[in-house]
Amino acid sequence: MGKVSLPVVGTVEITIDGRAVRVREGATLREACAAAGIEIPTLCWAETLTPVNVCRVCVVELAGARTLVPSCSRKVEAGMAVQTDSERVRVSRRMVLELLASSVDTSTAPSLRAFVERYGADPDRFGPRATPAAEGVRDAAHAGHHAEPDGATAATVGQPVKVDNDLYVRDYAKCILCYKCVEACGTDAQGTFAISVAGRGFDARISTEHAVPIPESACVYCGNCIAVCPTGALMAKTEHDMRAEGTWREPEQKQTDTVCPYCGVGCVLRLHTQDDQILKVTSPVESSVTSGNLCIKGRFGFGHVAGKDRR
Amino acid sequence: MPLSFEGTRAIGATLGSGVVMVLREGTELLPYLRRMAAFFRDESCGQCVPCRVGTVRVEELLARAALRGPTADDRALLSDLSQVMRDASICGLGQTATSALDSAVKRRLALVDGGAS
Ligand code: SF4
Ligand code: SF4
Ligand code: SF4
Ligand code: FES
Repeated sequence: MGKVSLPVVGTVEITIDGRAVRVREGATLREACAAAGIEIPTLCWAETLTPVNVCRVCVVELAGARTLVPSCSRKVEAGMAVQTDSERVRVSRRMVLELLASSVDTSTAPSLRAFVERYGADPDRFGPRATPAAEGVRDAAHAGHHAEPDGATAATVGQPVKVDNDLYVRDYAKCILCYKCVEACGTDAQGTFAISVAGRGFDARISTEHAVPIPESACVYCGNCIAVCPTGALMAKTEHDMRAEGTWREPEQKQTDTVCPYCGVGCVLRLHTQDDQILKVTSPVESSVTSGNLCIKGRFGFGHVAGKDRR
Repeated sequence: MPLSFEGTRAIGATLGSGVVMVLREGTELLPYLRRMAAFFRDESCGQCVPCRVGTVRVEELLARAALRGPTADDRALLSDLSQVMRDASICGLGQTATSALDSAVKRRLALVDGGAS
């Protein structure tokens, strides 16, 4: 029999940090790097959401390109040569992290803090932080207008936390504007479109229509935005209140997977418990049923389990 | 010099929107540069981090330099800000927002030690 040579269908070869790597056609540079064992930092990217490539922490250096390219969304092309840890890449990643960490409250954003550490970012080099805005001021910002800087402080997105419903809070002083909540609420999961980006430039912010409180908005309280928020800006009210009281002890908490009892979809629920009380419900992002999404009943409807009149 | 992409590139400038500003020799540049920084901050759409926050930090840096005189730290910070904005912004606005400032600093016309700016 003659020798049969099959063409390799549907893959392309690229070079990553000097190593030849063969990956599936249509893969992103981030996926190619992951296949080569190189972990790329990401903030606005998530497996379950369409890439928006806005945070720019995932940039890599592509030979022949004028600028760095976002690896989370740039697709591989045969012959590409990329550097994932060049001086240029390191400077841009460090600066993106300095810019973010100097303008938001990172206290509940462990992944962002880990990247700040890894890239040696110094968020304090822009000077002391400006006084946070009073309630409603950022929501009323007028595009194309801003107060002249005082030359002494660094502007932040600081503002009071929005507590306007019983189920979750919105602490936009922690928001890095990654668009994940907008995508989860809209096209990529929930299809409710209760929130979007309003305003422009440094005043850009996540908002309901006309900045109305959540109960007056289109929100259906699925909490799918909370599930994807990487900074804790969106947080269940129970967790927010317990953190404020100092009773939220995450290292002690247990996680137990079960199935939602409410309807036939059968979503996988992950119960987060402390002292045998359910404090929070999530769903594993790997679940083929939910991809991490739930509805209001699965996510928030657990109060009856601890009800005093339960028999 | 022909007012074209090629012509401006040949003298190390950018065409921008084709505006030519004529300033008398010895004119204090910092106020002009601050006005440009404020303009780019206002025009940033706010999608990507380098431009959304970078334009704010550039304007703050110039306000600081105007207040207490420029330092080597200011120049180092500007160099980092320019680099991330040029290399990692999504669009041309962020990528070129510091061009005029960078060129003024390179020619020692702004952020010079001991200078008012
Ligand atoms: S809880 Fe659900 S509906 Fe409400 S804003 Fe979040 S994702 Fe949208
Ligand atoms: S609230 Fe959270 S998910 Fe939404 S844009 Fe801000 S950081 Fe991202
Ligand atoms: S979370 Fe909602 S959709 Fe999923 S099984 Fe429970 S009730 Fe049904
Ligand atoms: S993860 Fe690629 S731009 Fe945010």
